[in-house]
Amino acid sequence: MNQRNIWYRWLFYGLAAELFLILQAVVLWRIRFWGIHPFLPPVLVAVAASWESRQEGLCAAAVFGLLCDLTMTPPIPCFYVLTFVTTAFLAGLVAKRWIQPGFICALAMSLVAIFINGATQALMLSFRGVYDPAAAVSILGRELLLTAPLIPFVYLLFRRIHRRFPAE
Amino acid sequence: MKGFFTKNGILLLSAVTIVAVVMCVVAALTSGTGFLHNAAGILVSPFRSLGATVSGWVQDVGGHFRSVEDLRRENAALRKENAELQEQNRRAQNDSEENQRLRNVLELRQQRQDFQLESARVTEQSMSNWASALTLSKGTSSGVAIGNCVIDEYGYLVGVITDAGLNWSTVTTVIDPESQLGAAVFRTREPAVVSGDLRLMSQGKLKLDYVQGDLINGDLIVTSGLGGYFPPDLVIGTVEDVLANESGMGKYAVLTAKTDPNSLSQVFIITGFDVVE
Repeated sequence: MNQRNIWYRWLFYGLAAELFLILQAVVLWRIRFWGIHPFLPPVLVAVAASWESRQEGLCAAAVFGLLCDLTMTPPIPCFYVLTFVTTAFLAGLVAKRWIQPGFICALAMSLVAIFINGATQALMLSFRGVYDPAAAVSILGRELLLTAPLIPFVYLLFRRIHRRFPAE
Repeated sequence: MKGFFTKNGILLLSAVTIVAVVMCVVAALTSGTGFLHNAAGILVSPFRSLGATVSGWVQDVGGHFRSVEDLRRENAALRKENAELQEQNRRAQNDSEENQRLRNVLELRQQRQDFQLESARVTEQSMSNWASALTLSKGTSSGVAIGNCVIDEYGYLVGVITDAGLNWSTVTTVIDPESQLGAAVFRTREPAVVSGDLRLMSQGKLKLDYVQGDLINGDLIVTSGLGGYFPPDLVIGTVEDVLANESGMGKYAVLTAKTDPNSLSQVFIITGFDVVE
């Protein structure tokens, strides 16, 4: 294991994630179709976690989730930590057992990540008395449709970082 | 040829020297242009012209480079000046917008002298598609408390403070699915309840429930002020459509919010108001 490469790789993953977060906050947030905008943060976690080992993916998801919780007004405290760690756990599991890490795996896990995030949000709302499954499914569907075209860009940048700093 | 110059070189040199001396003497003695001088001038004239042309061309090229360099310098200076002017223009535009906002608030302060207003900047807008909230730059240290109403510069209701820290607070906007507050139809003073709706939030709309009397499109909906939790007569929105609810027994209205939370950069928190019983 090349320890230095691993540090560099996560450093660059962090910088790439920061870049996409800025893109989300400055550009994507303003691009609204059907009243909805693309939502990238779960995709960043899913793509990184599908490439990396489960421990590294979980740690990164927890740190990134904490960062999002501190900056993005979550519905409950630690909401993003919980959903991102779940996403990373599933991504690691799927990449290890069912789908070989690559574009298909990253795409599938990204869609699952958006679904987990949306479904948890809908669940939180229903606990608070806002129960409208049809509206929730509609928002979730639109969010998936709008975010899916951006997954290849995240995948390509993360793959480049992954290849540039091999672990072995 | 080599032999010719060896044998006659001295003679040739002498002849050239004599011709040159004669030409000098003739030139010195005559006031006009002498024949020899004229002939020499005719002979060298094309060469002079060529020299002048080449020299002029070189000067032109030099001048061209100098002027390009000058133009570059001038262009750089103009670009810098342009950037400075644009920056000044941007600042002036921001100042003008802020000035307009403050004028509106001043007018609002004069109209609603019972309000204690605290100005705040919007530091973050919720990036989630599932909620509509804003984070503000003022908190408990400025007297902001949970339950305070937040309005824009025109006095339209933005939302209610739902979380407050020392120097920050979160306002849940009126279109958020979790928001709910007492309202009244401005025209008839009929009470009703305004609430956010998951289906309508993405369109910037909200719902008016428990409507008793008649409603017409365009009716202004304001806060009722009942119970003294929120100040009365803050404009929430206008009626866009009146529909029957699922049971068919009652009706509800779809409202268009008067303010767009996504376009706000500065808001005003009502930290105190006179309760009217």
